[in-house]
Amino acid sequence: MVQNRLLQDFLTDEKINNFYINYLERPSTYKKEMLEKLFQIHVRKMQLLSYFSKVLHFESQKYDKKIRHMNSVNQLILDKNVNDGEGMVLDLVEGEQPFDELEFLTPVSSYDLEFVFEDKHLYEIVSNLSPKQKNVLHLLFVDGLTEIEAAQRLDVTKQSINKTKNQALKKIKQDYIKGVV
Amino acid sequence: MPMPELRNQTFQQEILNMLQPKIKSVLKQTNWQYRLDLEQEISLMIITAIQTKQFQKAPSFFELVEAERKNNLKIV
Repeated sequence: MVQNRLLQDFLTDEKINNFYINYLERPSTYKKEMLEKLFQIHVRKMQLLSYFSKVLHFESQKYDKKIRHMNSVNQLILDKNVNDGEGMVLDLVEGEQPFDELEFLTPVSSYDLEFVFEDKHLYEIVSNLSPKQKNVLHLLFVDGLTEIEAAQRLDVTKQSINKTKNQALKKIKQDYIKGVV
Repeated sequence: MPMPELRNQTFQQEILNMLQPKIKSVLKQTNWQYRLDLEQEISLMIITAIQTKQFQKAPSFFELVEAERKNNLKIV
């Protein structure tokens, strides 16, 4: 019975075992060299495997540590100055709305909401609204946006849009009733 | 004297394949975002180690066989 673990492992491979028996029956220098070579490869393999099975654990821990360290040193600060204080990191983050669309649509097309109305009375009432109110009403009822979309477009909150809308409608209603009566 | 067989790509690939389960298990040491990176790092490390790492000299096959025989004789 073979005692040495290396030899044991080496000879459990059937091909190699047969080759060795073959060599024992009919020895030759070539076969001897071949055997020696195969054995060296086998030993090297075993050495590498045992080495890595110990080392990999520590290597991965080291890597994780390194990443944690990097993250704690280089934190992502959105209002940090970049470009020699000319801007913030936040400016570089893409917004939800595509840039070019924002560019063309933001100066909302018209304060001329009153031109929508054919009724002369209504026309006068609406012309008296503030530009902001006209703007909001135009976005909501002519362009057909939702309040949220309008809020994004004008860069204000949804509540603000809603408030302006209610005030404007109330004013129109009051003025209209006053005028008719 | 290093044998060219211990440096070539098939040998490296074989070692890498044998180590795959170990690598996979070791990846749990880090966050999921960094696992692929770690896997790459480890593979790179293994390949460089295969090419450069020096181990103590392996015994020759026939010396070992000879030693075995003597051992067995002693026991008998």
